[in-house]
Amino acid sequence: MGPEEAVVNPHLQVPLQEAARWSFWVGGLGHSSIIGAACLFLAAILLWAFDKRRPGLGTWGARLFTVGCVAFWVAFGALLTLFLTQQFHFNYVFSHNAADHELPYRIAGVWSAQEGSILLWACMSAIFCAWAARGTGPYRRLYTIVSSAVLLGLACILIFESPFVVRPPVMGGIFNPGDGLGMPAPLLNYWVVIHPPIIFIGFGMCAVLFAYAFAALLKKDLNDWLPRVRSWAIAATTFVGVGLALGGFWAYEMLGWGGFWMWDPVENASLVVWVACAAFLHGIFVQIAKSKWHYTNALLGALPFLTFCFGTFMTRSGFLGDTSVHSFAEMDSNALWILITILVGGTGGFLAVWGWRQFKTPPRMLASPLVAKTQGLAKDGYYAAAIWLLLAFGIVSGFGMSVPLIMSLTGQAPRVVEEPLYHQVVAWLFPPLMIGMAMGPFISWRGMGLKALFVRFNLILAVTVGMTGVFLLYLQSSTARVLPDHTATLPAPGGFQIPLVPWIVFLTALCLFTIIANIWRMAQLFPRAKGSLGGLLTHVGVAMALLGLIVSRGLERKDIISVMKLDTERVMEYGMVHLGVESPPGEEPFLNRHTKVLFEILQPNGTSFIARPGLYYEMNNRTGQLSPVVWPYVHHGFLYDLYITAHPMVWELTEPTSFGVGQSRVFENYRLTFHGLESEGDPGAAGTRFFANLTVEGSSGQPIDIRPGIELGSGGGIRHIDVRINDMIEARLDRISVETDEVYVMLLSVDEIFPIEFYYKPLTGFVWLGVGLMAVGGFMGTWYRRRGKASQRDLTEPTPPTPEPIPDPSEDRAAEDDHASAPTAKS
Amino acid sequence: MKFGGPIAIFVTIFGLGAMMFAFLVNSSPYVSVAEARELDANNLHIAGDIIRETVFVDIRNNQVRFTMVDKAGDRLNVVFDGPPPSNMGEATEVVAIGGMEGDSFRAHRMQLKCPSKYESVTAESGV
Repeated sequence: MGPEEAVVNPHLQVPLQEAARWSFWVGGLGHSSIIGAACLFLAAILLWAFDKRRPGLGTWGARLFTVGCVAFWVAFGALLTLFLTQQFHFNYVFSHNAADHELPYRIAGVWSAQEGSILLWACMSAIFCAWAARGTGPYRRLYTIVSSAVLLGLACILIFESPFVVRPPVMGGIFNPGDGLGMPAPLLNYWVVIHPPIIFIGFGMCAVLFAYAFAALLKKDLNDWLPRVRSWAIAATTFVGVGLALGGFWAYEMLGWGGFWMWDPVENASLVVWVACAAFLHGIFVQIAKSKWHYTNALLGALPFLTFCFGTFMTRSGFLGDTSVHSFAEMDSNALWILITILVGGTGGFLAVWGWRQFKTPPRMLASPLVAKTQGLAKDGYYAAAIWLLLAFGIVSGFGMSVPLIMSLTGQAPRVVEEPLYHQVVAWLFPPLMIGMAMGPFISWRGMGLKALFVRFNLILAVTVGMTGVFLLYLQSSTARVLPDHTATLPAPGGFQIPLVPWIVFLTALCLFTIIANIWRMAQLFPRAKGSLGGLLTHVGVAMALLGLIVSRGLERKDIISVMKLDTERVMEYGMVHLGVESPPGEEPFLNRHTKVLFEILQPNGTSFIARPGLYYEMNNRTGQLSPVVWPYVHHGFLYDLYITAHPMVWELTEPTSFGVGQSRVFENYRLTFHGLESEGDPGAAGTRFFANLTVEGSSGQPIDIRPGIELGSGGGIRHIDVRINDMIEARLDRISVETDEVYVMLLSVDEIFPIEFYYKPLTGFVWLGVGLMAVGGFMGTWYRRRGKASQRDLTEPTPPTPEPIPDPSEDRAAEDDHASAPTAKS
Repeated sequence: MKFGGPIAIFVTIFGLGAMMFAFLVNSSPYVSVAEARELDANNLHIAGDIIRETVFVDIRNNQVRFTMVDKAGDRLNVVFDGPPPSNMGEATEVVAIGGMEGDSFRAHRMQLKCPSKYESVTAESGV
């Protein structure tokens, strides 16, 4: 069959084109690159393994490792090419791309599903493992072996979960269908372009941390690796944290339920990784300052990567099934076993070496966060508490996510942990975490008493109380319009109910305490210890984001109204006027993705704005039916958001209700009486009509006779013949029951009705601001702690040995200065 | 303090154990229609297929009513308080979350899944 002979795709009604020959070369290049990468990593492992016996092999190992990392990106480039040029004869492209997808979505389609996201993970891990390798110094050999093993595993997964599989031949040839199924509507949002790459940058850096930690253990040198890995740890924590937040923003702007976080297993899987990164980061500070916790930090360094593998297993293995709103396809069984091997082998191998090394190590080297040997409160004790709390938070989140798996493995009926239960449990960890974030920066390395600590805090506490008072005034202000429900309660452990508003105020006070304390400390340290500012700013950002989440979710107000076409309704203290529909010119309204329903929102202060929630209908190629898609409209303000979702239009005012002959029913202030059925035409033939004779008595008192009907169409379909009762209401004969001689009649609205969900969400802007501050703080920390000029250093030489371990001099000097001149109530 | 470390370990293990126990005991169960009729709870999860012809959006009461069939073939009338989820038109599977009220199941939340095998974000409503 020649290329000029177009074959019509009977399903999509699009002429098929013969698949471009070059595309098979590209697909083959992509798949071969993955196989090649696997071979290269295996070779790198062997060469580095034998480098001790034959020096020089390692140099080749390093080169092959780098080429292997490049090979992943070649595969990515190949897949991207197939997406951009829309080669729909590739299964993955067909399933996640469409002819009408704009350029950003063609790019994002690459990582929008199983295979592509694994490839993204591999590429990010590869690039950062290669980048970090330059600065590994004496760890280079073992670091490269470990990272090659990780990347080898990912390559093997991709061999079985390949995005380069071609669709089956059609009529003896392979044809490009011309169009694909495209990404699901909720993914057609700009966040799909931003969120996955950002968070996978973080996940990729976790592989660096793991490789470093394992290499340090194997090399029996747990000192030198930490200054090398510190910047990577800060960067990984920042990118994973920001990526998590971006996922929350995506849910907020896309899903229409007004929230950021649902404790969904996919969300929890990323949260656990972030928490593990944060725990490791805190351990790094202590080891660098006090030269302790060597083995603990090795374990903490490996934790982010291992928890990510576990989370990937949980979310992609199919165990979660119905318990997650993110319905991932199940992995190929071979790929799943490889992932399990990475997880079990990596965890088991690491723990075996970790345990063996500790067994061989003198006890004096085994100081751990279990014991903080100082007088009074000391910074290492604070960091120990912080690590314990973070790990507890991660364990709790990870355990909750794993409940369906635990139930499955123990043969019990599936169960799932819901959001309120998470809140009840996690709330126990919140106060100590926030207090720790607030007080920790003020605690000295050398130890201090409670009285001395309090002296540093009395003004901060006073300011916090004042700001909490401001917050209370804000809650009660009629201008702010928060209007909290003072009768609302929250479920608490033991079946108790706690009042919502005081609980929100308490949590807010904790967040304010943390924010004020860290800003205070930043002001104290600014001239002398700029390197510490990044971490403090991150604390401010975390507390501010949590404050925004707590208040916007805890004190949100919600109302549901129905707005008829071109009508006006009141919702809360706002007016809502339907103005019409906005759609690109030349396009059928509601059939285009950019269709907006326009409402004028009249605000209490006399101003107004136009809300444009999205609502359109798209053809589902599988079912052949139109399906509605909604996109909420968010009116952003710093002190509050107005969140408006226009749900699919309805016309039905009542359910279809049965009538026997002579029966009357009352609904919508109308009495309908059914007198009998009439027909026109041959029974059962196309074009036959059935009419229900009805009398309608309305509020006017004058009865009117109507005859709504049904017309039989060809192929078994029917057409409703609706009858207007007045300007606003129609009657419909929905169906006829031959067995019972009954008809089913319903009332419809003449004009479409828009169900509107309207949220008032206070202080949502704090979430955005907090995440921004977290990101800035993280980047500041990474920049100040980076290892300069690594490329100029001989990579085989260790860094110069540090002198006797001493605390960070700038922080301690500041602490001592602060102790001497601590702000008091008198000053 | 001499016993600070062991105390910290004990408190941590006890606390974590209590949290895990709370999760296991209070987590929401997936049940069948027959089991739901026997249980008095408000956090039951029932998974099943929507009978599309029975879906009705009650605009006056802000409810959606439909009938679903679980894997055992038992039918259940569901009343969901809220506007219709955006992908209800194409969804075939639903997880209704709530409890029995008389003969009907009162759902305060629904999870709907699109009839596809690839990665998709489902509608989560009523939160």
